[in-house]
Amino acid sequence: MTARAPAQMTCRELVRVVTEYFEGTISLEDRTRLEHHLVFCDWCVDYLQQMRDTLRVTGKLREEDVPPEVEGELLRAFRDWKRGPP
Amino acid sequence: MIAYKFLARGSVGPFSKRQWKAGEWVEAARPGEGWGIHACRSQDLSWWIDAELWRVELDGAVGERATQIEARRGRLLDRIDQWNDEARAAFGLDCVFQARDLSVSALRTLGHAGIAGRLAEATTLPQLLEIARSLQAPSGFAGEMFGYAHDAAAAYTARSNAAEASFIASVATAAARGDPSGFDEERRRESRWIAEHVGIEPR
Repeated sequence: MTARAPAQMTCRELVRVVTEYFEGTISLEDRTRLEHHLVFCDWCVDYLQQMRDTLRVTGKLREEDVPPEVEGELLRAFRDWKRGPP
Repeated sequence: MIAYKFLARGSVGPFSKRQWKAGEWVEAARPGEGWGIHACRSQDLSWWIDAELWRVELDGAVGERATQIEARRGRLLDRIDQWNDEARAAFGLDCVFQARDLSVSALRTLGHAGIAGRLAEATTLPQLLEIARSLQAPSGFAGEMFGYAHDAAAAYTARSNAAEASFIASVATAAARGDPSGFDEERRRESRWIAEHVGIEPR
């Protein structure tokens, strides 16, 4: 549908720029386009709220809060992810 | 300068999540363009709809952009009571039927008078949805134009999201005109609709 109105941001594009939006580094033009999108897209509003909640919760975690077995599991997962699919 | 501002229910900024209180001056979050207090001119209203509409006073130099204005500080003056759940629902329905009218007009031009006539019969949202669901979409561009009426009716029935209906009508206008500028043209029509219905002098 947005091919007819190419200046409008899509959900996919919003996901791509959401980090810049939260960090305040997004361009003014893209911020305006993103906010136009949020006015009508309930899904993206929910997505942003989930991101905000995740940032709030994970922002409170300190290194010593992570149990060693969880740390090991996470490091293994990151190494596997970096290596890519077998 | 007096302008307008939409807020979420409870007078909360939809993006900043800031709680606004009538009469209290609010300063820009930080210096620089884009970080000030945002508000609408009458022609911007349809881009930003939300649960509450307020008249605001902006102080100092006011920067103007395509769909909003911005100042270093602003305060809420009074809530525009005519913009309420009923007005928002009426606006959403108007947008659904605007999409329908665009579909009907395009379908007639494209040689699908039968389908156009059936869509044109609907006077209520349930009727429009029922008729749209009962029809076989034509192929090609006619199918696309038929889809706007169908999708606007289906989406508004499912979610009652007036902003979504406004977006569909705007895309339908761009499609009907064969030019992306149709999107802004429909937004201006919608802004006039809101202004007229809540007693704001339209521009």
